[in-house]
Amino acid sequence: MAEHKEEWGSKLGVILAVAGSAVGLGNFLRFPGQAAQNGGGAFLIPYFCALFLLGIPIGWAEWSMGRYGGKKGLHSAPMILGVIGKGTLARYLGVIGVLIPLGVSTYYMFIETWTFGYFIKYLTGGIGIDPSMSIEMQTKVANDYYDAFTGASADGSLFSGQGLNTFLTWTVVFAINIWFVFRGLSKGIEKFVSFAMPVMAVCALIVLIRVLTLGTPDPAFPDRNVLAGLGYMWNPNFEKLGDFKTWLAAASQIFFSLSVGFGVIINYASYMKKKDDVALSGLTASATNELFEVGFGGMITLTAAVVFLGMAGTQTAVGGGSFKLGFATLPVVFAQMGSFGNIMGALWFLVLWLAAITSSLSMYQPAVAHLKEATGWSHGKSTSTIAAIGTVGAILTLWYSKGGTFLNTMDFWVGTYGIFLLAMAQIIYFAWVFGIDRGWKEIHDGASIRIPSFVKIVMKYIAPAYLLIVFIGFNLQSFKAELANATATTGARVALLTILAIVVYLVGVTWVGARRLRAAGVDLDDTTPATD
Amino acid sequence: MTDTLAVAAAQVGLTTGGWVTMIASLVLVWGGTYWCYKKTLSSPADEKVPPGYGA
Repeated sequence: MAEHKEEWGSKLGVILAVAGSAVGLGNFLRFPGQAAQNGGGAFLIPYFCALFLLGIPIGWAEWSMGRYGGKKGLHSAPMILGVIGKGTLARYLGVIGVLIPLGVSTYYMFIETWTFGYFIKYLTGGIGIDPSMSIEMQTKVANDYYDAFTGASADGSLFSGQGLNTFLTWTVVFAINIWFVFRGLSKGIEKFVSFAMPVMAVCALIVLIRVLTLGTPDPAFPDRNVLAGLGYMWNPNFEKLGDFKTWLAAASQIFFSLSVGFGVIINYASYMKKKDDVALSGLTASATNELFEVGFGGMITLTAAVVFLGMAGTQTAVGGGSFKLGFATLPVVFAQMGSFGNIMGALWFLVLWLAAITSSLSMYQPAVAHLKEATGWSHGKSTSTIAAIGTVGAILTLWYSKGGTFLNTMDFWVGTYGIFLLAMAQIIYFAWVFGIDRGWKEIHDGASIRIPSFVKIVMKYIAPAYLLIVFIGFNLQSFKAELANATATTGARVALLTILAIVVYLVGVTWVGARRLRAAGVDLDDTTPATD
Repeated sequence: MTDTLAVAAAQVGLTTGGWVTMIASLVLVWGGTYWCYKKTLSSPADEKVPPGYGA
């Protein structure tokens, strides 16, 4: 008996699911650091340019490609890109659209484990920072806790002694994720994000209001106040606009934040109805992401840090990276908030956990859909198989925890490089092979808004060119060092082998799927346009 | 450079330029999100598909 056909329960469901996938830790931790280091308020100029010239147009293309694939009964990135790109090369390039979410899930759930672990810890009394100690000592306690919880001291340390606490927390987080994916699109993912997104917004709003009303908590340090914190984040330094790195940083931030080229939107949109509005849905999902990034992330994180730690302390924290800022610096900030500290800490890490789980939930779905489509297996069997692959990847991430070698290698080659490749393939196939006129008609089919016609030029010429320039700049900046890193440690080498193994598996599944679907009469090369 | 800026920020708080970029950005993201959801929620309800008939 055929399984029930999957689809979204409501148009708001798919918007919240895509927005949930996009809103992640980067919105709250990476964005403010990037802005402060790249011109403050002036950073928002290249940032919004990238949003309108890169993020939203590529997102629209991805949404409409997904819905078009759905009209032909296809739901996986390889099969859909094969249809859009009319051939085998496009189909196998589409494998990247499954590799990215599946590969990223191996380490993302580990990071999600930190947020959940910290949330539980703050609910039950905090991480043991004594506010009567000096700030330096408090920072040391927070750093030690962070290092122990993330297994930074030695490979394998999360599988014995105190590290087992992290391992057990991971099993809980992993089980929650699998439970919702197992329940399916509408009853699992959609139901959860429809609850989680509003809760996350309310919690973030409470934290924001508290931060903006902190005033000058320590009269001994009159310069540590809310306006100074906002000034650190927002005062513009227009000189930075002359630096190519600022534009590169802004484009990269938009790109990774919106989850375009990630393989999730194309899969999620394939479950929409034929006449669902992809233009407004894509815009609304992007707007939601921007609200969390600029409206909350840009107002909360650094302001709170400056108010309690001063400029020097905040600068050191920003220089230490997003994770240190979120998991080692902000706990010190919460410790200064007196009796409210643990409540604010719990709320903050709840926000981060919700941001993380609404993203991680989207990471298995493309791989499950790919396996189901290619083999004809049931949802349960496909989910179990992908969960088994995910477990192996996650165990490797947990084992090679010292210096995050496995995590960092995966993040660069799959979570960064792969995204650039997929986004470029998608926009080029959409605008140049599927055809921009046909694509434009497809985007507007069922749309309640009209997109300005200059966006057509943006999609055909500017977005691919912008992407290519950013990709070249990115390569010049990071490729050489990352290539050396990728073979420098055992963890990195194992990560590369894992990526290779996943690619071989996905190519095999795609090959099997193409044969099976073709035999069933599915038009995989789009010789006949999909009908409405 | 960053140190100089940080010290300046501590001394002056939020500058006029800071206020302008902050308010403009917030109006754009809050206003944009409000407009998008208003438009989404005011458009016709989802068509009801009888059981057994997919998209």
